[in-house]
Amino acid sequence: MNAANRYDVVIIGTGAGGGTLGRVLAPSGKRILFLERGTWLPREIQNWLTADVFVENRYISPDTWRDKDGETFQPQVHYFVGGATKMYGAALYRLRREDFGELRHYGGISPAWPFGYDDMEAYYDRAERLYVVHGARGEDPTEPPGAPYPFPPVSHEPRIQQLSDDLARAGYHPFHAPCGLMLDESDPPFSLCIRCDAFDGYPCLLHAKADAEVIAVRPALEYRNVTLITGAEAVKLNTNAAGTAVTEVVARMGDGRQETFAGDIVVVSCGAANSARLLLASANDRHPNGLGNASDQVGRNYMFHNSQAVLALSMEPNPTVFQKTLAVNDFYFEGPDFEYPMGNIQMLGKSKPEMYRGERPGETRLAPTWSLRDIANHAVDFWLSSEDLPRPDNRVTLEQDGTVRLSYEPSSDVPAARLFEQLKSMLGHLGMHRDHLLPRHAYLKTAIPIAGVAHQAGTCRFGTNSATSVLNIDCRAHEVDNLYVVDTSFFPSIGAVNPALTAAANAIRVGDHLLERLHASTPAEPELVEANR
Amino acid sequence: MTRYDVIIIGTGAGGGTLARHLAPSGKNILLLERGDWLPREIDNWRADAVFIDNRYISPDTSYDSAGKSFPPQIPADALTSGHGGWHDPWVTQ
Repeated sequence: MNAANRYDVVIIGTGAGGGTLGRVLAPSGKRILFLERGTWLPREIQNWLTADVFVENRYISPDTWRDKDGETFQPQVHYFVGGATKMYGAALYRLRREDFGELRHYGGISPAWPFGYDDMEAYYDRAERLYVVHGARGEDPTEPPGAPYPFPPVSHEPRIQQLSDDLARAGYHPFHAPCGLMLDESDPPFSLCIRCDAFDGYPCLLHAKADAEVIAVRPALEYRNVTLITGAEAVKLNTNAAGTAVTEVVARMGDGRQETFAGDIVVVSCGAANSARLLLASANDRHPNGLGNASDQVGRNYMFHNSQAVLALSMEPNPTVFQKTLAVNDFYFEGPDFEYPMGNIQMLGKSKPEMYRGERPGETRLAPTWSLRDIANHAVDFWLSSEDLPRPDNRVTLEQDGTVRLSYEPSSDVPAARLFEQLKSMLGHLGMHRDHLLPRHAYLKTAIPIAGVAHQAGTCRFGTNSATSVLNIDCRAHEVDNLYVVDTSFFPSIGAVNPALTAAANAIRVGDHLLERLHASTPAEPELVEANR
Repeated sequence: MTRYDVIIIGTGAGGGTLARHLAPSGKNILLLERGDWLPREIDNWRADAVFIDNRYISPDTSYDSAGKSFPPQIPADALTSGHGGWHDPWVTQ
């Protein structure tokens, strides 16, 4: 191996996990390598164009997986510097305190984490500062305690303020949704974010969304000891003869040749499905079931949210530009006449005519006499998330040719259906047409449930028992001394809020551990807030 | 009345650059700008908004030598026809 390819830490993947970890380690002076299979996401006007992003799928990376029946599908993955966060809505929630314990659900048990919320609180505080989270602590009764949000909440536009008022009048607890963006509403000319209508699900052309590229990878690269190689897909991890340490990271480079890299520490941060894939593909004599997989848990317990995008029709027009400002957690732990957790309700980015199915009004099935523009002008868009439970049979395996096979069935559709019915029953009180709550597949052009792999988690769960978990508390493989997995793979349960902030907070936590292990230190981090006006 | 060391009227290539040069001196400098901040929006990038709808042409009126009013922009036909209101010495000479 080329001596230049030796590093203190090799991080495979640059998303919320790997990118954030690299940002934490960068000031230490240690030699750090980011390996990213994708490229930089191009900055171009198409970033803002709905048809290109949502219909032509311009930023969905070519990859093919198979489902449980062996049918191929294209997962909605984004292989770019910054990973899945390039396209996310930057909804940066903490898991609830109760999510760290065992929770009884309609479909079974959501297992406890090996530590409690109190052990994560300080890392959440740091992650919120790093990711420029705007919010209002105390509005959401289910939210656990923490430092005040580092930035004020993103304000509601009038129709959403009305919705908030209506919800409050009906006895609910609407709150300002936590959101990571470089917005300063008190000083618009100097605000990087312009509150545009192309935020949720779009890459930000202005680099004003707090994604891992902008917040973590680019600042990390300011340090001379940090290197990024794009177009480098890690395909196998080789170990020493005893199988106790990773000695080589084999990557397929853009031109097709293979190159090897070495790190005293190797961190796998490829996203839950691809992290499991890399470990499974790295089976050897000492690890016949896949690297670090004596527990047979690698790839199992794949979770993603049982999510629904739904559209309601407002009686009054809804001219909102930036809609993702409100959420409701009143049904997070139970609902009326339902003693189990239902989930989280939040706003989506405002839908647009280009997204809707059907060229003529009647084809949309929404409101047959309305044009697509009428619908868009009255649409109020919600996102309902219910917790998915870990099931051993929901798993990532490898086909003979190395293709990912994702076998998945939701743990239960009942809580999601109850949450849908709950919102539907409320519409009349919220200034919306009764009985018009339309699920995504009824109106969006693109909707393939299993292909929506956002919020994937759980394939390398952590725990204290090496017989039932892949990673120890530090997110290090039980069986491999220098191998870490730092993305959402470690989640033993996923809760019902967006997992990105937890992925970032955990990366900071593991980063602190690695600094200690490497006998390194970094300056205090006052620059985190200052740098992100 | 507020007093300044330097008042610069206009924030373009001349006034803006001058202010940038003077700023580190610590002198009290006032920039007066008749316009507003140019909005940052997707229309910045749209040819039809910029060149056809003239989205960023500020409302104002000027008068030519014959006393005819015209907006302070270059009409599309000015450069080829040689008449149309805009007397640009670099073009008409």
